[in-house]
Amino acid sequence: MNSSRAFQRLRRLLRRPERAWGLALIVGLIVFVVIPVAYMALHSFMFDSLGPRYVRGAQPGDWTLFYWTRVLTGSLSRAIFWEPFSHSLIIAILMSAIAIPLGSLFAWLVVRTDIPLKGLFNSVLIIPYIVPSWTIGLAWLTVFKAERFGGQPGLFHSLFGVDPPAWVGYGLLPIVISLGAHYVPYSFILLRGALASVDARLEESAEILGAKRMEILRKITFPLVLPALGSAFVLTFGKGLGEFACQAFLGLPIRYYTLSTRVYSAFEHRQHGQGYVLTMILILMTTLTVLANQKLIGARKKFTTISGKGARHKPVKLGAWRIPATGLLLAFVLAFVVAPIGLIAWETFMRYEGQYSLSNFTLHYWVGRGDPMLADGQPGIFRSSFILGAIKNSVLLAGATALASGVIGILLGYAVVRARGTWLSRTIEFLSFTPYMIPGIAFGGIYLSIFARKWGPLPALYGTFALLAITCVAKYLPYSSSSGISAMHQIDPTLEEAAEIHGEGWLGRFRKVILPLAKGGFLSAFLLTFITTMRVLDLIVLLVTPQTRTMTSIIFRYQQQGYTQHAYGIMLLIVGITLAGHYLVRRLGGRIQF
Amino acid sequence: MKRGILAALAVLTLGLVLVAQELTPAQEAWLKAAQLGPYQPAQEDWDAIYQAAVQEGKVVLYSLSSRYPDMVEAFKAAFPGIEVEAYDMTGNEQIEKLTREQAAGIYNVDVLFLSNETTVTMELLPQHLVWNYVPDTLFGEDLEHFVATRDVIAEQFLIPLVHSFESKVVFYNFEAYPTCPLQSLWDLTLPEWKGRVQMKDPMLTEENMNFLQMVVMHADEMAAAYEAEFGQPLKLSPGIPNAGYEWIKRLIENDIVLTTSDGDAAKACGAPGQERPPVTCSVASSKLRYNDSKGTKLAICWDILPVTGLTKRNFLLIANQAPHPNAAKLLIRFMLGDSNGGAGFAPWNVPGGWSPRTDVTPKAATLDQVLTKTWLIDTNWVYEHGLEVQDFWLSQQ
Repeated sequence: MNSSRAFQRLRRLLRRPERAWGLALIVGLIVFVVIPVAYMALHSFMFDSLGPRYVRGAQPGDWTLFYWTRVLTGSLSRAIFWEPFSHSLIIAILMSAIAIPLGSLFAWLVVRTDIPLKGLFNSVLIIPYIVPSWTIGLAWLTVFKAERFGGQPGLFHSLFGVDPPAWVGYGLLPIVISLGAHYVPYSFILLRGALASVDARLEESAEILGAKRMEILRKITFPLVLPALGSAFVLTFGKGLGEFACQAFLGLPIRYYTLSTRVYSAFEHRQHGQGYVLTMILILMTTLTVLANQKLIGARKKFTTISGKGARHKPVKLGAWRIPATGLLLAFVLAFVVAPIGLIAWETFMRYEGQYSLSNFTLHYWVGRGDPMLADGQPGIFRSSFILGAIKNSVLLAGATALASGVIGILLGYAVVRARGTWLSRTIEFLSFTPYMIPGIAFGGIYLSIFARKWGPLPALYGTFALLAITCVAKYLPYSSSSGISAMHQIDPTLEEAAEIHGEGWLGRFRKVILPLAKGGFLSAFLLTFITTMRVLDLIVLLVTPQTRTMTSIIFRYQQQGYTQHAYGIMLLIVGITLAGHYLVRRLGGRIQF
Repeated sequence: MKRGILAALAVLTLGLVLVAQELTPAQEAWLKAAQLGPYQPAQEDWDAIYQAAVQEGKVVLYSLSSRYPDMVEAFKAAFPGIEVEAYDMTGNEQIEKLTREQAAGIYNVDVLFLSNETTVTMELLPQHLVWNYVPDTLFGEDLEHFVATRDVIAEQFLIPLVHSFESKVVFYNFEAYPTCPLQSLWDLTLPEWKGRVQMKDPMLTEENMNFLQMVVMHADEMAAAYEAEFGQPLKLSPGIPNAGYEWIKRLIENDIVLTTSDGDAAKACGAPGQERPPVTCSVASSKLRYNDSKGTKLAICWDILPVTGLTKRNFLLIANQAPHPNAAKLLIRFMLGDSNGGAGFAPWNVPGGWSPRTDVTPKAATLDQVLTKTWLIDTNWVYEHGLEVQDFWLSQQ
């Protein structure tokens, strides 16, 4: 290549900076997405450090099929894999069966009917998503905890004097209900957007032609929101497979294992080989879900809904159904928003767990100095430097992740949308979606293995704050990219071209035209990743160290050590901080969109 | 290109795992400067160590026990000028962090306070990821008087240095049962106790897996205990190799309740006002303190056959190439307390906890008594056969 041609290429590249930026993005995605997956795939075929204890003469690093056969066909495969696998599958299916119909129904009620209190429902129905998934799970335990499982029994026992049946307190039912309720907002948000953008004229024409309401719903509305439903299914189902905390709290006491709790336990026992195999299977399952959804519904990976300039909808009159429908919504809000948060708050003021009397009231766990008689002398939340440090870390981590995700989302969106139709655009879009298919616990495990040590130009990141932030940013690329892409879609390229004609360079165009218009996309990515990072546990549970502890990681530890009031108190703070963050970003004009 | 990277990665991993057992020059230099390992003098100059520790300025402790805050305050008062950074971490977390840090050439921690007996003795010490350190003298009746370490701690508890013992035992509720309602461990597998035995999930804690492993190792004693109680030899189920495995199988079939913490099991067993309270299996003996703090009615079944459980050793070790070795020595010596227990050992000088020091009077039962009623962990056996027992446990789920 002679120098003048190279120079011309460079000039072309500079004029089309989305190309150069796109290439840089791909390099980044290879480092942070492709290599980690390849690393894990490779290591699932190698003996880990415990290898010599299983197979005499094995050397760590030797090639082997040992872990794959152990997991899939060995005598232990039922306990290690098949049973947890079936549990995970059942949980994912049942929770989708709860979350999607309920969320869709709520969306329809709020968007399309004359139901009262719309403003309230619009903001409150998102809360189960904003708070950690295990809020509901832990609140469930405070109600249904049975005496036989240790500690003070729950509210149910206090009221009725008997234990609820075992299957009510632990295992499949509470996991499915907690997770189902937690993911109702996914479908709610997606369907709300889809329903609002369906052109009302389509439905009105059908009505004029004499179609019945059910018929309109079935033949017109439903097909139009089908892609959104598909997206809701993929999001919910995929989450159900990888979800860890809720399944650990509610499943372990009765030996109800799922794939994600088995993955956790494998890494906990330093059985890395086995952990990698289980993780590969989890990734495969999620990928299949996404592919099946694309095949069946044709929805694209990005979660767009139908757009168009529709006429305003005439609200459907609910008539006699108005009261039961309102009642249903209120009941949901009461049962899954007000009650869990209220119960958890109440619990933090109890000197001894589970004794619901005024004499048991105390502020000790919030502001008390250590008392050896209570929680082994752990000081109250606001006096514990350990907890205060964790709060600082959590807020910093969520803030840094959200900021980085917002910026990367916009840049990603710009590269994908401006290069639409090229291989570059498709590759970036696909790769940035890939982290979604990797369960959080596995994602954290891989990052632990790869970035813990010095690696090429990258310094050893283990134990650093940067590692946590990078992991979160990488894992939440799907959120930031879909926010960024949909924001960029809304910006007419002619605006940028106009600026170009006026002699603006690329940076100027980006700063003066793109950024102001992309504010919504930035805020959406910021909000989503802020919320998700504040309440994340599975992703970082293997990565945190004492110095980089977060609120979620210490909750897990406090809960395991039986310091219930502390655990619940910290959880309440997480809820408070995410709600405040949500409120602030809303004030700036951002809102959650996928 | 990518293949090259992957190949390089594979080689890298391999190299990391085969950590050189020989000392690196850096390790040699560190040992020499820190006067540790082969360079530890027979008689240590504690004034010089304190001076050097003040120069170092601080010491970083990872602790498996969350009971350290009072000890830390007392240490800072006794040795002004040295900060203590203490972190509450499980043994597994400490090991995971230590191995990854050392592989990356990062040296953060000074003192590890952990149990994980098999990994410590079979992996960490031989691979020089940690160093055993025995102070020549310990504090006597107070911080001004001293005793020779070997005069007060038995040789077998010096390598690695034991900080404290804790047993994992069978508890019963003394309000509901005037005496221990069990004769042998086999009673836990009887219909009478179906669903009424609680234990922290052995997949969540190595100690409980160790207990099951010791049950299998002592299969002969298990068989003898069965015969002593029921007057006939034990009949093994098809495919079950010995009495230890048979006991584990029956325990699971008897619907044992697995908890996520020892505390939960202890509270369930000891809660007052119960008619048919459960008993525990392999729960930390130090939970006896709940009787004071939570009003529980816990008592230990000392005299059941063949043993009531396991006694585990908690070690104090210095991390390889620790940045503050002198402060680490001071801290270790301080944590071993004095003849009266002492502020350094006070948080662990509780009923159900034992010092290795013969001059410290335990709060309940003597160490010798405890060691006859419990098994110690045989780390060699666990290293060779432990995972077979773990697999068996998994297969019985």
